[in-house]
Amino acid sequence: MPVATAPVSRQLQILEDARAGDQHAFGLLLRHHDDRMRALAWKLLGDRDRMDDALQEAYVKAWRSLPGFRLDANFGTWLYRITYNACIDELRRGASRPTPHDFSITAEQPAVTAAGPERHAVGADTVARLLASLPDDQRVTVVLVDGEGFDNQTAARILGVAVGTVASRLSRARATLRAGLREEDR
Amino acid sequence: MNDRPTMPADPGDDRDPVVAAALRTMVPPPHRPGFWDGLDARLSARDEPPAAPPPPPVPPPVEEPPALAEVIPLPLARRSRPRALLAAAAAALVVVVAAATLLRTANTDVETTPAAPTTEAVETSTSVDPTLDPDPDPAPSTTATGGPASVPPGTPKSTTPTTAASRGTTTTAKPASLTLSPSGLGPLQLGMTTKQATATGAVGAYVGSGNAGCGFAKPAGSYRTGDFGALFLNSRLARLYVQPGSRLRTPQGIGIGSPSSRLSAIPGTRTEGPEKYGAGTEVTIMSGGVGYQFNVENGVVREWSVGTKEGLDLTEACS
Repeated sequence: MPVATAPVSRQLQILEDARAGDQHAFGLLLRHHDDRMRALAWKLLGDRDRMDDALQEAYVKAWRSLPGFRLDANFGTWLYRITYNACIDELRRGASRPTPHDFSITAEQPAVTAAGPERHAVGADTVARLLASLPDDQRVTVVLVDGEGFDNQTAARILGVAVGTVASRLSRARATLRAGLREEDR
Repeated sequence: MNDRPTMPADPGDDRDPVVAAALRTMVPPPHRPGFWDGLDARLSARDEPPAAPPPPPVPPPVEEPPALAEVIPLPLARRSRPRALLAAAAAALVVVVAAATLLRTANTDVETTPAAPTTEAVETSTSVDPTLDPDPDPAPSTTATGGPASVPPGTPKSTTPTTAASRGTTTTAKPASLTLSPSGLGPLQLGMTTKQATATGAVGAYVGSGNAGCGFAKPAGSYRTGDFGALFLNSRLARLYVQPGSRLRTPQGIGIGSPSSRLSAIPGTRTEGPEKYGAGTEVTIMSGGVGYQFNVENGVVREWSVGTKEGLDLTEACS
């Protein structure tokens, strides 16, 4: 598997080469998007082995489905959707709740103090625990929008639900998380 | 584009700042050792993507050549696909046999010259991937040499002007120009429609005709050694991008490997910022709605493009 990041303006060519069956080109595409897919899978699954298992499934599935990918669509969004589905499958295979995050294998993360009127100094383990307490649909929605920065419309497209559903899930998830953060801050 | 945004939106769009700040603490770990090797093995085990559609049958070689070019799928041209190669060879054989049949008809009736569209179709369908051609510097086009040459001297002009060549709209690629600017490359000009661009002979079949009219084409004819790609938006040429190894140069002589200090020789409004995905710097120089974009790393140009503003804004696929 290649390790170099794909130059930006070669994306189209690489994408088409991958679509035509070039495994090396597909590897370049994966490298290009892997950080964000890992972020999604990590926040949803909370365990490195499960994260990797889900990502391998997602990438294999993407490879198999790539010939049907339309060039006028967006590869990143398409891959997010496949990864999300693989994570949901992984969750269903295991427990109904994600494994508690093992932060011993990640870099030391300082506590983050949120800006704005509500200031909370929280650690990653606390956030992970609060996130894990959410139902799957709320968790993935808040991860996509507040964690990965997608707008509601794109998140709806990735999840295959209506924009209103995203807004509703977000509202509930944020209320739960904010309450938990306030509680932890006391 | 119907699938924007490509990347996560700018912070603040729909984010809850408190929750977003909390989620930023959750940095994913790296993959376990062997992840990529394991994936490679799995992908290799299923080397042939099973969802790949089989090549469609080759249509009769008497219709408009551009239409023929658009139905030839790219997988036919993959060098690493023996099956696809066989299919491509079979398709070419069918076209050649049909051409020979038509040629025989022409020999019995000097009022028609049917060979031109057939040979052009062969040229178009086989020029999708230059790596398929063992000759690195082939004759510009079979259209110019094969068609007219098969017509006996003194033969009246064709009475079946159904081909682009016979209409005078196909300009076979001249010896490749190595100068790329916002004006274009040789006969290729930004803003051309897909058919106009294909008709120049400088690019091959247009790939990816989705609803948004977005897709691209690879070099063809004497331009196939140019190492560039042509991106179309709304069915018009919006960007020509140069790939590493290309000898193409700007009119100022700037190309791959040139020091970035030379970019100041290009007139226009200059903006500079980090690459979205890469580690280098993106330098854009616009003038009159078109311009250059250079990707600079370690003080040298690593790759570059010319295009419209919309074309240069793209980072992946068609969005």
